[in-house]
Amino acid sequence: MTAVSPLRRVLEPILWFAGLLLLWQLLVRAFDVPIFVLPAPTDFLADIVEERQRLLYHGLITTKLILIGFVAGAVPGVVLAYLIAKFRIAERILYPIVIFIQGLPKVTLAPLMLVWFGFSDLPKVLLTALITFFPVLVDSVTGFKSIDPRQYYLSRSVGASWWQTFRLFELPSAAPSIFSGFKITIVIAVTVVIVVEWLNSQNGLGYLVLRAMDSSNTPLIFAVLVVGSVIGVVLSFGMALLERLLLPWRRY
Amino acid sequence: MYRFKNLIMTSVCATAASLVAAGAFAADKVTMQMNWTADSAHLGFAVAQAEGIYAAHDLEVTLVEGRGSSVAAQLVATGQVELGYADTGAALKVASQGAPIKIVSTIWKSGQFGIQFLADSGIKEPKDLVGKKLAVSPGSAMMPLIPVFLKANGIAEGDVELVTASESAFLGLLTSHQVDAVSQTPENIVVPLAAQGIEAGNMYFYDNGVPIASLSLIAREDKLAANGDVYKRFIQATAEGWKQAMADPDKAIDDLLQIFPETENSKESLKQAAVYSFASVCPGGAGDTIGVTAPETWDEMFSVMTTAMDLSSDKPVTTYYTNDFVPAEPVTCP
Amino acid sequence: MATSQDHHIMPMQTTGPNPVIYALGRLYGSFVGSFLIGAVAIAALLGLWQWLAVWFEVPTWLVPKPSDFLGRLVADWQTISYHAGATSLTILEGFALSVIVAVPLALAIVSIAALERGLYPVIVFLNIMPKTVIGPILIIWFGIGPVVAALIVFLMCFFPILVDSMSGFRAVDPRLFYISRSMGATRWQSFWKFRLPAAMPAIFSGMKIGVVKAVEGVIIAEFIASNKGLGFMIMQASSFMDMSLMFAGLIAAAIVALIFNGAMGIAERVLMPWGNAGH
Repeated sequence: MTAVSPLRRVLEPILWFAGLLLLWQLLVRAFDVPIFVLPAPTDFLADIVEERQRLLYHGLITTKLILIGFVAGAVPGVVLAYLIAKFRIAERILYPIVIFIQGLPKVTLAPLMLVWFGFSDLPKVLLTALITFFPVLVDSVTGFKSIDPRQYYLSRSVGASWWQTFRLFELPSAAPSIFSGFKITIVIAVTVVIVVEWLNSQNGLGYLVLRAMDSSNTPLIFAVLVVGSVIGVVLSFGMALLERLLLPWRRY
Repeated sequence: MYRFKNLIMTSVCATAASLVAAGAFAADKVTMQMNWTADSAHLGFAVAQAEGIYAAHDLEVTLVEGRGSSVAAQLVATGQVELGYADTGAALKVASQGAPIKIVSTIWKSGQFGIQFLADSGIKEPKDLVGKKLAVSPGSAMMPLIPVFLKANGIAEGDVELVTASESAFLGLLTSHQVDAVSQTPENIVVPLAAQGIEAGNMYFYDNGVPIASLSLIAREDKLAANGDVYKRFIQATAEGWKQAMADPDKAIDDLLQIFPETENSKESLKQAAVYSFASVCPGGAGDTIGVTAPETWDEMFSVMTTAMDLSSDKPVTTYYTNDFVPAEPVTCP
Repeated sequence: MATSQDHHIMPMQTTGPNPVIYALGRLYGSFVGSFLIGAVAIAALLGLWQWLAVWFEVPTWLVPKPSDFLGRLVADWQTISYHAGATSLTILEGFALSVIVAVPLALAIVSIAALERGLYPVIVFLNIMPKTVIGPILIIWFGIGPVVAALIVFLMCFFPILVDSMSGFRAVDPRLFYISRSMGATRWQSFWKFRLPAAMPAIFSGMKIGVVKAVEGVIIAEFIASNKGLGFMIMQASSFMDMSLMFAGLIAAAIVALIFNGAMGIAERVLMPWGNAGH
């Protein structure tokens, strides 16, 4: 395979993307598609500029919710994963329950939470945490289980305490898997939060989608789609960056 | 020293006066959960809020936009809000599950459900539907009401050709003359068609033998027992708000846009929808009482709901509503 | 004196270990055992819930008891299985569509370098899009119904199948082609008899993940965009505050998920007995 310059590597996808957008634009205009059925890229890009204040306001609310919900789900996930990996009894008893609850469509609990807790932030955070908990748990269990048992010979022979063992041996060994789980889950969290906001919120991007649907403002729906994707990309990169910082020894 | 004493006296008096004043203006807080986002169904509330009618009745009201009538009814049931504004059918279904809620005032006394048709289709009364094509959406609330409607007007079910289609297709089907009539609400059919310059007509189920109330105020029984007076004042103020809205629709629309600035509805479409909204509030025309449905009408509605709308008939209709909190002096339609 | 032999020979015992304890010990370690323990754990959880709900006299319309919703599972069996069937059909349609689109596309991307450099990154970006927001747009085009739900399922399974198929097609040993070409195989025969089977384990791996995602996503998809299926049934039940039916629906959804995932596991054993299953 011929070597391709790095510049071209970045440029080609952008060209493809732009090309697809151009095709879309031409098709919409050629077939005179009404704006509420399929807006042309110029329509919703213009909408993004026009409504940028609103999008920014709601986008920040959504991002905040994603981050809080993610942390609220990921931290217990890692903790429980450690317990499950370390203690056979915990694994035997807890894991089947986890698998079972994982199979339940948790988003459907959203209207229930709405009725129990109203439009406040609690149900939204709770739901997001619930949904991010499971993928993080599964990947962290894989991570903690992949620790080479011979490491313990080393840690015990130098008389390391539990905390030292955890911090210096167990966590770093499991970290690649854990971060892999984080990266996947944060992207899932974006979708989840938007759905939850749609059902249970008076603000945020999901709520904005609802308003847009109400008034057949399809360009706004696409605008939210774009903003949501951008948030997803940013958070995904942020997570990768965090991994680079915390695990500098990993090579790709 | 004299001056100092004077100062003390005046400041004490002033404080006392302001305390008394504050006490007099200590309003009761009420949160009302709406059925959906703000539209013509909420004009009366907007007027009552913006024009200070609630304040004049010592009420501090918060109107919260909602996610559906059922959600609103359920939020009342769980005590999250003091009042809900929801469709009667949805509210009754929630109540029939055991939730201790009651309808305290029917605002849209006639439902918005009905039959819409193009002005040139030759349809004026229910009987004109014989031999015509009527589009109905299978999952909609209108579907179960059609047989009741036909029967009430002496039309055999086979005489009208029912076409199933999804609601989003209705406008297209009408304008392309693939069907003669659709079953939806005027706000969703007549108003958009008018915006395109096409005239359409409407007949309500309510006026044609199928009395169903629509949006009503709901409250939880224990809160009604504890704060009955607050509810009475709210209903009174709301009724007055609606009366004022009907007297000056343009101002009402301005009030709505002021209270709910995020609303996407244009003034024009609100104005047209308002006509139908007001028609639902006052189906009996001028002199009809705002917010009150008579027990006899309730009985009729109940029989429709238990036969056509899957409502369980375990409990009598009187468990579901109460007219104890409506204004002593009826607020009448202009 | 202890010799090394002593460690290997089981000492003769006059009485064997207690047979019950022995059996329980064997059970503990086995697959059936862990299934049983899991079932017991879940049953205990449900029992606790039931007891709490009764003890605090929680009304059914607020929080249903396990006895309520498990009872509904049996009582409303017909409705639930109708919707479960609709959901299963939706999963199959969405999944089949994504396989039909993703596998050939994977081959194309792997074969044409320009596509891999240009199109693939675009697809990766599109995958980050919150697919549920596409739901409302699809509703505007197709109306509310299983079509939209199937399309959302398609979007959800598409990417894992694409990625794993690509890795499968890429990893084919080039020496296989020397052999096949030296025997005069046409391009089509090359593909069908060599490349595809070699890539199958990876494709299948992708399909397994795809099914998991499909099963997760179908309920949400039906929730927001359909008028049939378990997601729709759950939403309807919750909107009428019929909590028992709602929870019964949740359990049914979990069962459907288990069935589909289990079926994939079995299919794996059947289709690829040579045991190259997964990475």
